[in-house]
Amino acid sequence: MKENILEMKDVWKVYLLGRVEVPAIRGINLSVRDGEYISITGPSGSGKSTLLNIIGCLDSPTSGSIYLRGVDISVLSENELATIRRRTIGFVFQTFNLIPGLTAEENVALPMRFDGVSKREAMGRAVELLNLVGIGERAKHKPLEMSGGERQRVAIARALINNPKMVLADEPTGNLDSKSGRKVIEVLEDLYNKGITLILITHDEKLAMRAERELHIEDGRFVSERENKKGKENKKGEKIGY
Amino acid sequence: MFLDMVLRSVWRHRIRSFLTAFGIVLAIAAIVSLGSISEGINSMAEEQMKLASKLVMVVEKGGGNMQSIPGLNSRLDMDMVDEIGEIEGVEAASPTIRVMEPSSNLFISGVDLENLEMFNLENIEFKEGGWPEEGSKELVLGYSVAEAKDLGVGDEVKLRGEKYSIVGILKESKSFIDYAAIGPYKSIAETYGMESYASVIVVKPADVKESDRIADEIEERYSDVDALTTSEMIKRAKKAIDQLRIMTLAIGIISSIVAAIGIINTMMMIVTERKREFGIMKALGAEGGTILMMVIEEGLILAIAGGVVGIIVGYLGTDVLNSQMGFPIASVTPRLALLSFIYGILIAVIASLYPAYQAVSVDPIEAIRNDA
Repeated sequence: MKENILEMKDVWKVYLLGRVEVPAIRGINLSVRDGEYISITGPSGSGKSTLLNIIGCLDSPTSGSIYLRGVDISVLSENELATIRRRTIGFVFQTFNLIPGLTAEENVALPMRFDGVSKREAMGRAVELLNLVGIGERAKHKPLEMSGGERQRVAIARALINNPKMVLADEPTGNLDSKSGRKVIEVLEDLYNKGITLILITHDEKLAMRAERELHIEDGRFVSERENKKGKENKKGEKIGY
Repeated sequence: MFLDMVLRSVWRHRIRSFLTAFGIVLAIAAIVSLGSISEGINSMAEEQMKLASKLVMVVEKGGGNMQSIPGLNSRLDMDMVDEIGEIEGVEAASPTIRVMEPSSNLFISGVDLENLEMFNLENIEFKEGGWPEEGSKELVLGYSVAEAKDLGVGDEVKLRGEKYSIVGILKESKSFIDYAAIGPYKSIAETYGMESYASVIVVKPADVKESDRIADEIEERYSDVDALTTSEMIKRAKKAIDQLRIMTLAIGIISSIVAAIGIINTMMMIVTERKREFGIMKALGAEGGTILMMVIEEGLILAIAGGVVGIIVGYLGTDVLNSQMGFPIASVTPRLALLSFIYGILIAVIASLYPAYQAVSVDPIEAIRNDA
């Protein structure tokens, strides 16, 4: 059996609103296998985003432990967390979060340049990745000159530039029409087929069903978990019909 | 490291960047041009001291301060020359004339050419030609004045309407002599109607150690003259330079505070506008130091551009000042240029620190929120 890439034990996140403690995450336990495809669904305010921020090393839990590839991330410094975000995790956001002043290839190259790689080398790799996600010809365009689907594929290329072990996708199709959404899911599942762990956060039930494992979160707790046979079949490159 | 992105940001806000850099230009230009005056007087005074060493210069009272050419407007009675020559310990006393030719703005010095060693001029080197004959209507030009007025040996100039021909051009000496025309005492005195007056009486003591005593004695005997020894002149020059330096410092500090406020303001605007961008960068794994440097680099670019232009503007200002004065009162030394440049850079870095800190403190979670 493969080693777990992510291991969360009794993780709590409590926010202070004035003097009132508001728990956003209440004792979450989660193990994700290396190369697994899981989906997390839940209504807004259920703690989805908080959970994603914690898994993505953007936020630290109030209590509990999180091991990412065997490393306890709750004790790391800001710069060490930044290194993990840069090298281990690829982020794909609903609102793309591209830098408007930079071209597609420059946006993609950015995390690699943050890692100290020269601009020239990072740009070369960026163009390769843009070709991989099927928009190589748009490399010199700025985000505002591109469609939503194209922008999201730029964001996916950016998420991949440092060869992450895990991709966190937060409502990646939320701002897209269904055709672009299908294309984006295709690209993401292609990564999963290449062995990258994929964590998909969505409110779209049909989409969630495509994962190997489906988790449902409500009020900061997982309320249901379902293994999907169909999800496993995705590995064979089944046509997306959601 | 991210110079390409930083330069693009500067260019994207080019008007704002230009205005901010302009503040730095003004600060640096003020420091350079004011500083150049004290530097210029300092270096000229030093060279002048070498020429005047061992001598006592007698000028009309108040005519020896360093803000103008010593003795330029002073008029001393000719009888004084012989009387001073009689004082104990005085080897020789010689009258000289210092006038400004109004038609050509030429500074003319009439000296006794048969006693060149009196004026420490015996060893001066010529670029071309040589000394005029005493009593002739001939001139020797200093290096810079010959360059500036494009004159050479064989050319003629008119002094009070009388023709003088140029027979020699001196080599550059970096002293006041570069800006002077030297002619035979008698001819110049005649031309300017100064036969019965001297501008400066140059006194040579038999023993250098006696010069202070001789100066005191002259001042005692004539209440309306200053007798300046080398050490006295250095003291006066240093005092003038010190005053100028304090003024330079004060104006430099005020203008750099204004420039720094400009930088802080601009950088804060940039950081506020790009808050989300910096947050996204942090989410993607940019370390605090990387973002800090991006902001500081932007401030640095403004400072470098402003500093270079500021030094050029200050230099040009110095040129204008010098041509207005007719002699090089100000000079931009490499030391002055370098110091003001480094100062400008320092101000920019300090002024960028707070905005940079603001950029580093952006919460990445805020930036990537779906409703952001």
